[in-house]
Amino acid sequence: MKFWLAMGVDAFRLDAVPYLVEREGTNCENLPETHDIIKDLRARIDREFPGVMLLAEANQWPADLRPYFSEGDEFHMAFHFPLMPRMFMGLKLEDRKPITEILQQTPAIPEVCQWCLFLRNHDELTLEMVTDVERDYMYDEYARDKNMRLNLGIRRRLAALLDNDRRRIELMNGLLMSLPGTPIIYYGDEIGMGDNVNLGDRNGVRTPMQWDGGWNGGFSSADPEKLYSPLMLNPVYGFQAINVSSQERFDHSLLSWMKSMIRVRKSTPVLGRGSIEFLYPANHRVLAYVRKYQKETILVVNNLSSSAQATELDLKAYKGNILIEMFGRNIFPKIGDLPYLLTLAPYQFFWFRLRKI
Amino acid sequence: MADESILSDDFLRELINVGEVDILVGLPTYNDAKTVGKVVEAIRVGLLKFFPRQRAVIINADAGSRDGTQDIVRAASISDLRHTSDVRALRTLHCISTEYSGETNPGRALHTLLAAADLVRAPACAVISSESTTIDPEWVDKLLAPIRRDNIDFVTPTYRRHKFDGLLLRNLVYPMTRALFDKRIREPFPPEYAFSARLGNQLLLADIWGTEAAIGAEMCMTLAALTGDFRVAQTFLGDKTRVDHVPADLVRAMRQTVGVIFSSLESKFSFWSTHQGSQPVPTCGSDHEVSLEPLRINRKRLHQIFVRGIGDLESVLRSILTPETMTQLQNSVTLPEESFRYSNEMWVRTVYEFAASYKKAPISRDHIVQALVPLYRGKAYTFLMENRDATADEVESNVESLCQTFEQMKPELVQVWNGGK
Amino acid sequence: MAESEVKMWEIIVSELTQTTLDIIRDAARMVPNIVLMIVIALAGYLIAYVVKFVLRAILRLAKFDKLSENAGASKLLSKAALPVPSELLSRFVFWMIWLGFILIGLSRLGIGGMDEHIQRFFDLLPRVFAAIFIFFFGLVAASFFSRAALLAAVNADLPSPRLLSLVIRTLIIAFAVSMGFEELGIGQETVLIAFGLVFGALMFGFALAFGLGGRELARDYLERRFVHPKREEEKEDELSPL
Repeated sequence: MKFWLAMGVDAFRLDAVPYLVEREGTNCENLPETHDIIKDLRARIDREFPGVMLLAEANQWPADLRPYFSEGDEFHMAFHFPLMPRMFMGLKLEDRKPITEILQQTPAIPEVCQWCLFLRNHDELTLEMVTDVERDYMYDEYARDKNMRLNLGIRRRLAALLDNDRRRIELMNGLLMSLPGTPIIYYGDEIGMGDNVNLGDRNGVRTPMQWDGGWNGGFSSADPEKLYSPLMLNPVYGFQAINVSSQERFDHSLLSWMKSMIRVRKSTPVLGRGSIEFLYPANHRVLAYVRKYQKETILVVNNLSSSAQATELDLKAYKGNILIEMFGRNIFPKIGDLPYLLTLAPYQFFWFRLRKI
Repeated sequence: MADESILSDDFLRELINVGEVDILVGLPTYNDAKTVGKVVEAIRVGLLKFFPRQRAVIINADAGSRDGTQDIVRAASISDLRHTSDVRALRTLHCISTEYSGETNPGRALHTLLAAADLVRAPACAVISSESTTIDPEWVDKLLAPIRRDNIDFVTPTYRRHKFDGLLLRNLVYPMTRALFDKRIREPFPPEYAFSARLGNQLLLADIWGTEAAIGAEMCMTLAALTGDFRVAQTFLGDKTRVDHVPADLVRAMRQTVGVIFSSLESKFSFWSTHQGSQPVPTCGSDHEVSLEPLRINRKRLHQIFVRGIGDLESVLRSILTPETMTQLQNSVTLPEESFRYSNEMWVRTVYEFAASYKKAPISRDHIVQALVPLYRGKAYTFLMENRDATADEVESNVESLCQTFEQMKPELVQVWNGGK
Repeated sequence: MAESEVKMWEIIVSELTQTTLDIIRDAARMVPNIVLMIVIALAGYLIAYVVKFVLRAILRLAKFDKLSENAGASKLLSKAALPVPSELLSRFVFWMIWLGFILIGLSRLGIGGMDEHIQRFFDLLPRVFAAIFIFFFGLVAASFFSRAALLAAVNADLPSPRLLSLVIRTLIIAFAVSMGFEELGIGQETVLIAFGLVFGALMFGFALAFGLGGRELARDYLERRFVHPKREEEKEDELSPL
């Protein structure tokens, strides 16, 4: 590790951490010896290379992940695996229940630690941390073609899972960036790249990055036949249709949208560091929560349904605040005594800053 | 049509929150706190087991309970707010409840459920009685699967019942419905049933709401299903729950069933006058089952009421029945109790004359229905006597022969209806 | 002498002539009135006839006879050998209208004292119609409610249903009759008092009967209606009819 640290690496992702230490007579997962090693690693890094971050890849229930943060003397961050499939599930069910329930079960972590949220990664979309009924549902809805299923997971990219629906892609990214944690974006998802299920194992989601519409999609000047993986060629997801260069030209492209999302997110520390309190509007298709940090409050409202919805939010605790929509920065009506009525287009979401003047 | 919506503002708001569903289960209640908990729990288990992926809602139409019935139903909802960690469910399950004034609004429960089903666009609906403590979660599947899977429009239940339970049904409502409307529906006035959106919408638009016919809204639904272009099926549910009944319920039961059938004769004349005989209905499971435990029934009292009725109501009956029938009945009351028998032919003739008089209405129509009650008691007495020691098969064949008599004598009714008395 | 006799005769003749002429003049003055009266009477006849015709048609259409049959009015009328209710009512209206017109005509004649009587007739006319209306609907109501009570009593297995029905029928008819007479202004107080007495006596009788003699019966009845217990002596299984 010192080799990389000396080169100036900022962080390490520890792969399959729960299985670090194996011992006969146990299930070889989450053993105390593993934690000892991590503690030791952390202590040495803090001493010799302060500011370097350790990220745990541990596919466990939230309660079982908690020990990996310890008291702030093990990992700085860990992937929140159980949340990820439930975001997809909630979207298909058009019901916020899977999402709110897993977050209700997520324990508090030390102040100096942080969750890592993600929609997709280089592996399959893992369905280990769901019940059998839920897994069957996910398979039937997202991976009807059995070829897409691998290792109790679904090996597809974000855009393909969401039927290339721009609204759903935006909604999922909106959730990714407004739920408590640090968002991780898998390369290519910011432009909406597709997958190639015909490549074996997980390689379908690991095709070359599409930079422009030219030679090898701008990935390499070598002969295409020499590339480690074939390029995406079909008219929908191929490199000529989806690439960074063409998307940079337009304000309305997915790439430009992602950039402006990130800009808005960065404009406030609330979404990254703040607490979360769910509102439970009676309309179960609406996922609404309040993020608070120091003196700032942000209200996030998401419509998980494919049809327009009306919802009333109980915002009595925030009475007297004006809502300021964070993307257009227009003001919305003040919160009064009555429940706050909002109407949302299919898959629409709002981020509101609450201000009392 | 009333200017006001029958759905209250609060209930409409709840329906907005429910949104579109795949399955709606309706639960009419009135002071059923003792039994509704078990029923709603069975429904919930059934929905989670057989339709875990479908969007479902349980809607309670309550006639003004004061014993906390509505709260029990609402408590069964599954949502992220309630943190019911013992129930693993894929989706939110709304259990909502609305109240109306029961005394002044007969049929309002079903009307409310039909309106709600229309608003949430439920393609398959079931109604379950809040008193059915013999309920099993399987009932949910048995009632709804034919609607969802086989394109059936109306599913009625069949039960295992004691041979003397449901006498009015066995001796009048079932045979008459079968003879007049062509299908052998064992429970034309069912406590639980399921229907498709198509049938529900037709009934919702019908002119019965707010009229007297609404007291037997379930009967109206059966008749609408039988006389319209709808597919009907039956499903065997198991034991029927025996509920405590008061003698006054008999008049009400008559109004709800016989009254509704009589009032529909005029409008559905072209249907019942042209069909002859009856067809069996596709049934999942057994058509009927009979249990034979010993019961104590006061037969003597039935005979007494019959005899007194014939005497006291003579003037009324004379304006309804033909002189021949009247004479026969008066002769029959002179017989000693043990040898009195209300034969099938006599009974069918009586009923058909009552039906025919409904058209002309020499006296108020509700009075005609009420006047039939004591005569029915005579028939019930005969049924009890004849089947005192009968086996299940014997009871069934007796009922079948009564049905045949109803069917065979139907042309007489058609003739009288056409030609007048 | 002949001259004074002739003069007296001339005076008598001239007086007579004068008087006769006066009478004839008076009569002649009356002729137009009489003619007018005859015309009015004829017109009245025609109008009354048309109204009777139309009314009869309307009543037939509204199934008035059927309603009266329900009320038992038809039975009463046929017993009195009178024609059917719609016919009877139409004829009655006919006569009333024609009589009215004749009286208007008579009033034209200017015969003293007639006007007052005629006025009284016209005052009475609407009252008469109202009274008939009340009697008739009293009959309908009596018939309906007495039958409803009869059926309810039979079906609830109460004792003496026919007596109860008759009592209710009598009460309602008595009530209607007294209201009708009150409307006509005939013997109001007498009828009212008589009705009150009968009603009060009946109620008193019931109270006594229930209070003293019928305690058991009253309790049984009330229990059956409001408490729904299982009767200890009978111990039967209650079965549902449906």
